[in-house]
Amino acid sequence: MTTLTAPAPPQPPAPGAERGPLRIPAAAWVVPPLLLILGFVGWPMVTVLGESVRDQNGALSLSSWSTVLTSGEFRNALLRTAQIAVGSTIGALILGSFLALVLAFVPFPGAGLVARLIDTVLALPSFLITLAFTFLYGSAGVLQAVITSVAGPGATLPPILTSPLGVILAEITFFTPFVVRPLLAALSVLPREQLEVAASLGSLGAGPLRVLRTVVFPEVLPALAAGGSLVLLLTLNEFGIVLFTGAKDVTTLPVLIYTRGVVSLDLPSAAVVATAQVVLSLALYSAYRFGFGRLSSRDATPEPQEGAGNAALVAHQ
Amino acid sequence: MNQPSSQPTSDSTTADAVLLDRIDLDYRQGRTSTPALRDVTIRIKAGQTLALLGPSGSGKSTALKVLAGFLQPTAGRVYLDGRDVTDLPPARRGIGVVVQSYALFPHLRVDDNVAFGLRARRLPKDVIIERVAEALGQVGMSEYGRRLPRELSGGQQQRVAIARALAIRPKVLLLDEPLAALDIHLRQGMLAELQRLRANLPDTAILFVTHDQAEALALADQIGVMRAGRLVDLADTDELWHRPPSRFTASFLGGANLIPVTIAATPDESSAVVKVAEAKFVADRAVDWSPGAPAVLAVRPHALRLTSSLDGPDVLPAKVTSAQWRGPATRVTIAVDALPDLLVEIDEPGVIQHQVGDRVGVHIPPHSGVLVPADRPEPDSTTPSGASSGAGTQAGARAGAAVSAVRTAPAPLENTP
Repeated sequence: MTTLTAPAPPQPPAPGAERGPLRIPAAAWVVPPLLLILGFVGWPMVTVLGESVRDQNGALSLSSWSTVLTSGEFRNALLRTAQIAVGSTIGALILGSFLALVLAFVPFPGAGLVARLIDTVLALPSFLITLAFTFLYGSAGVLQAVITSVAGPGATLPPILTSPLGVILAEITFFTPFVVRPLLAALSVLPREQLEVAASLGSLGAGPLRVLRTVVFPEVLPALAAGGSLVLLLTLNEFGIVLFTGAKDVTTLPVLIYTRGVVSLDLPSAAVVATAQVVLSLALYSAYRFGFGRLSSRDATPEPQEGAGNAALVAHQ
Repeated sequence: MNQPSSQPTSDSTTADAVLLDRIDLDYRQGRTSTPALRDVTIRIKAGQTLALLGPSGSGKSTALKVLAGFLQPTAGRVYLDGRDVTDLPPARRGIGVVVQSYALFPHLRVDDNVAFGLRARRLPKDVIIERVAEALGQVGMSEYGRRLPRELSGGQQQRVAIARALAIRPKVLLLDEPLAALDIHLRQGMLAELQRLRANLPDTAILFVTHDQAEALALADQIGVMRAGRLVDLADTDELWHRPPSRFTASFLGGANLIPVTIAATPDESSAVVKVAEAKFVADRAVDWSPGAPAVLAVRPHALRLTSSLDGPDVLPAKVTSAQWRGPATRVTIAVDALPDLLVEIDEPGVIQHQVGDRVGVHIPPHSGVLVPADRPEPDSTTPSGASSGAGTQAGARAGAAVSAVRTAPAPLENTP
């Protein structure tokens, strides 16, 4: 009698089995990036935190925390930072939305060039924008020269550039592309048929604006939220623009850190403000991730039940 | 340029719910201009359905978009109920539009999608609720009002799209390939739904764009065949199927074989005896033909028959070049001895025993083909891509043809499904 024996199926290689001459455990690949993160992010933050809990003599103390957090200077800086960040973000969202809509839906010669120029701004350092503002709108700038030549030497520009409004305008100018870019990407994948159908369903007096409000913006909301959140985070931490405006009365948290740490050499206080700044940024980032996660899950597409459709059809018939 | 006149240049009757009057449209990009529509005139009466049929890129969807107001014609005018709407935006035309991709608003629930046009019209809330319920009921989606579009199947989404278009009670309904995105089973079901819907909209003019002739035949009162931006033929569905006026329409609608023939005699007003080599056949005709004149005999694949005999006055000797079993029928491609440049396709019921290379005879039964002009110039080199004799057979059966539907295939390429 002949016995047929099924051949043994090939065994899959065991985890970590030999694949080549060099065998490196999978866990080993985690170590280098972990070390890098710890070295370049974790360690400085721990150092800052450690510095914040020492007094001027180097002894462990929470006195710096209580002093800084209860000071009017900190509260004012916190308020000013929030004002500038929120104002800049709202401005960038409005201007960025307008630019993105025009670039996406209003064909005009040179639209591609404008889009690329907006991209170019992303590559520039932030202080450059402020420097340009200073040359244009500063007390010795081009606009002042024009006003002087027209109205005489007594005529001067209002000091907008060195005010919080000037900082906000500069930040709007620099950070608007951060809204435009994701919004343009979202608008480019918006189905044209949806806009056409929406347009056909409109009525007298409820045309393009209603389509924008009820169709376009809800669909690009995740992109708008992403751009806005990014701008909010960046403006919260922006230092170069505030510094280059030369606005003496505009003290934001980064400026306060700089003043305390570099000018006054009060490192514990600077460390407290820096820690507060980090906590604020992380909190905002967490809120952004949570919100973005909600938006993403809202747009996720579960598998439709074809059977339910058939059932409906049968029921209807 | 658009004509400033608001009077139709074509002969018009006030009963036209829709009139596209000599429409030209060019797509312009920079200095280049690409013609998309040329001299297209379409009329639809209230309660009628007109299907625009044609291969991809023929301009049928473009014509629909001109009517909807999504595209502005380069020349010609658009009239709705005799009113010139050429310069009106889509929202002011009061037209319902359903597109292939459904285009439901993903962030709105089904009832909000359906209510979209009603809210735009600022109707009272109770009226909106009533209309939404009515529209959803019309398409059998009453139970799905609180669902989001992503929670629906393709067929359900299409139904919601139709309900959304119907909710504004349009006098004109535009359907742009509404079934193209559905699988074959859902498509059949939705086709029946659309037929029922059409019956329930006696005052609505419907323009139905499709590349599927079976859908056009099933739904339309009239069919317009488009090619390369031009309306090649426009006629009642039955007439166009039974007496296609052109080679292209004959080939596209039903995938007819186009066989070059010579008129031998015209025994009466509606038939002709035609000659292919030494064989003679009786064909239908719609126009006068002089004996000896060249013509093209359009014969659909299901109307031809294979015979074992190679001899006879109405038999053409041929050789089998391929045979494809397709379930209900076998598509046999043959090379006729007398027509060396032509491959003829025949649908034989069931499974056949012929092998490639077998010698067979081709019989063209009397009145199974119709004559079309031989010398009608083709607008361009676009090859009909939607011709499917399978669908043609089905549609022909639906029509219950007194005259077997016919078409001719002059060249192997046009004969290839």
